[in-house]
Amino acid sequence: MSAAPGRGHAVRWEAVRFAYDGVEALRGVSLDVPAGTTLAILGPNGAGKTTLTRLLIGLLRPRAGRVSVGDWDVAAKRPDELAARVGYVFQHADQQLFERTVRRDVAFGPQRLGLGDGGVERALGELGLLGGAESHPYDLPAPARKLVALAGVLAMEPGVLVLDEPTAGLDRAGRDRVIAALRRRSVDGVTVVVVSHDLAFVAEVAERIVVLREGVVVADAPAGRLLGDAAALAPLGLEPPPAAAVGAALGLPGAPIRVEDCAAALGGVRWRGTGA
Amino acid sequence: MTLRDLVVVRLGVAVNLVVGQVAAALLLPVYLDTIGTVLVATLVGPRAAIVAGLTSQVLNAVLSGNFTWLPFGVVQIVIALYAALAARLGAFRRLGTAVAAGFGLGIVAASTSAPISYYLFGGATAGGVTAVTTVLRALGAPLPVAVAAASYSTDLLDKSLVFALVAVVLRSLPRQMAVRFPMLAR
Amino acid sequence: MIGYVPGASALHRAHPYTPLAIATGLLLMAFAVSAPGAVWVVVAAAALFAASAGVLGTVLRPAAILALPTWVLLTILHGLLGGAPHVMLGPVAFSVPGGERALVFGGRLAAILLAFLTALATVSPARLVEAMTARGVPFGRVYLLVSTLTVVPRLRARVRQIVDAQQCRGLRLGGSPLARLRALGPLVVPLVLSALAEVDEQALALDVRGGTARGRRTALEPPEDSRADRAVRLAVLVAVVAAYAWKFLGAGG
Repeated sequence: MSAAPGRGHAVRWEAVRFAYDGVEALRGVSLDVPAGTTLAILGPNGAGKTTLTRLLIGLLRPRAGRVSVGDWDVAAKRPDELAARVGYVFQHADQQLFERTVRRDVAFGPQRLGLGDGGVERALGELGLLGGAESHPYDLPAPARKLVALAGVLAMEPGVLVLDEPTAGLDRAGRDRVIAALRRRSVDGVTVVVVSHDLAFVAEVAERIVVLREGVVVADAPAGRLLGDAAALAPLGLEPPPAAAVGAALGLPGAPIRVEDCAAALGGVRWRGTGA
Repeated sequence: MTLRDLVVVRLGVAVNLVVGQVAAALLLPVYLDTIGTVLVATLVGPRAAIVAGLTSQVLNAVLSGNFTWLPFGVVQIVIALYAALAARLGAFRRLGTAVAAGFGLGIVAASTSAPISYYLFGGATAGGVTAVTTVLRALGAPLPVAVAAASYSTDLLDKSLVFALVAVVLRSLPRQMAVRFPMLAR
Repeated sequence: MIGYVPGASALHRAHPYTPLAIATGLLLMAFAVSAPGAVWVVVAAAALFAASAGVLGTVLRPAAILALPTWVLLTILHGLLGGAPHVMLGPVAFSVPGGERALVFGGRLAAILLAFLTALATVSPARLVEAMTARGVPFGRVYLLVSTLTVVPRLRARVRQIVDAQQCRGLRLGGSPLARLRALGPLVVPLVLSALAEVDEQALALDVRGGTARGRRTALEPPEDSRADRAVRLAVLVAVVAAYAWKFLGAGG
């Protein structure tokens, strides 16, 4: 079963409040994310980023407000039911592996949902895991285990994909594979929500950025505009990603934030320079 | 014991202390709190397993404050020795034999803990077991019978599950990890 | 609360072995006596032990919370379901010998809880480690007791993560008993595998820090074991031996 464009779901938080033992983690957050958007949530530790995403899969229940995924009210569903729509990749997802081969572990989620093997093979291929598909996950190095866990969620072909620090601990090649896989999901119409401290990665995948601080939204802007604007990032405690910094320093046209856009703009500069 | 054995023992103790959370999440009426001890018995040996079992018992008391469990330390020694013997006889190679051996341990463990519960505490220890005892007594069973039946019913299921889970874990061990435990080769 | 409570009482300042010896002595005494009155004398002694350390208020609450459910069950098990003769307490027939038994067993529980919660509240873990090291207890044993306590919270957090993660992969926690039994594998196996995967790393880290299993460390500041400490521990030993001698020889003769 291949993914058809438009299979994503809109995600909506409406005036959501949440508290841990009386300490407010979210103080009235409202966000409307149309289907097919790739959203990055940024903010310092303790800002409420992970709390916000955990509400999507029903692992936490809001104290006030409403969370919905497409036409589902999250409050009415258990996490294992929501898994049919929302794929959630945890920060330490490598700890969830337990099957004797990579392929079997990746197939665990799809089997629970009654899906076929198509998603399993696609996810293994995308993340470069086909060569080691018959290995034991624990015979692979730690970064590869993290990719196995990600593959296990991609294979469930969810309409909404939530990733918590997906690039932490990954090597360059793994990171590039994750970026490519997320871009492909975005083209398919999947809604992607990424929580990350890795701004260079965020610049590569995100269309929209929301910054949280102390449980409230302090910025909500298109990725290109926010990440290219050092003056806007500074009060949020953020620095522009390297490609954006290079682009700004050289005054490149189009204010690129992605490495390849930056390279293309640089090429253009040289071209015009030699042509003059 | 080598330093590495000690680290495995520590891990076994920690697993004993936290695995009850899994049973609670699934609302299963079992403790599973000897799984670390049995695992250490299969990976390192009986001596290490006894240390793991007794340490678990003491730390359990320290963490929960419920020191009335201390006299049941004897049961931990019995479990450690039985599990090591079962491992040596190859009981963990197949799920069926593991469950059967676990059932056997359930009988042995209950036969050890029921007299302690009866003579020292009048049948009142370890939450769930006491409730079962009370219900059976209310239904007219004599007290020693009620205590024994409660101990057996919980232990048989619990220990069968513990042995089954350890068998699954051992079968799931990656090669790189398995070769580092010479006990497994026997 | 359960755990160490800093304080300046004589028990806090005593050698760490002394409160532990008193608590163990009280536990053994609770089983040595079998008359309801005698058992509750031991309970009173345990309460006095807590009061002398200034922690009676702190340990009473957890002791009561831990003991209450068992007391209730004991009252039902022995008092209501016990044998004749009965006394009528309002509309219910209450067994006299059963009530006595409930008092004995309930008292033992109370004494053990009070005694060890007090020991826990007065013995600083750091001083206990120093004392054990000074006595030449092998590093391995000390390490095992202390370091496991630091591993447990981390492993607890991991259990929660695994339960969450497998639910997000479509694993249902509820359902039929059989379905719940089958869910044990995907939850327990990753817990054990991820922990075993860390064994060599942890062993290496400890080795680097010089923690060989047979090596002995020198205690930095061994707690003083005073003459009073030794006298108290000897007194506890004598009392326990006397109680058991009386129990077995006295009762038999």
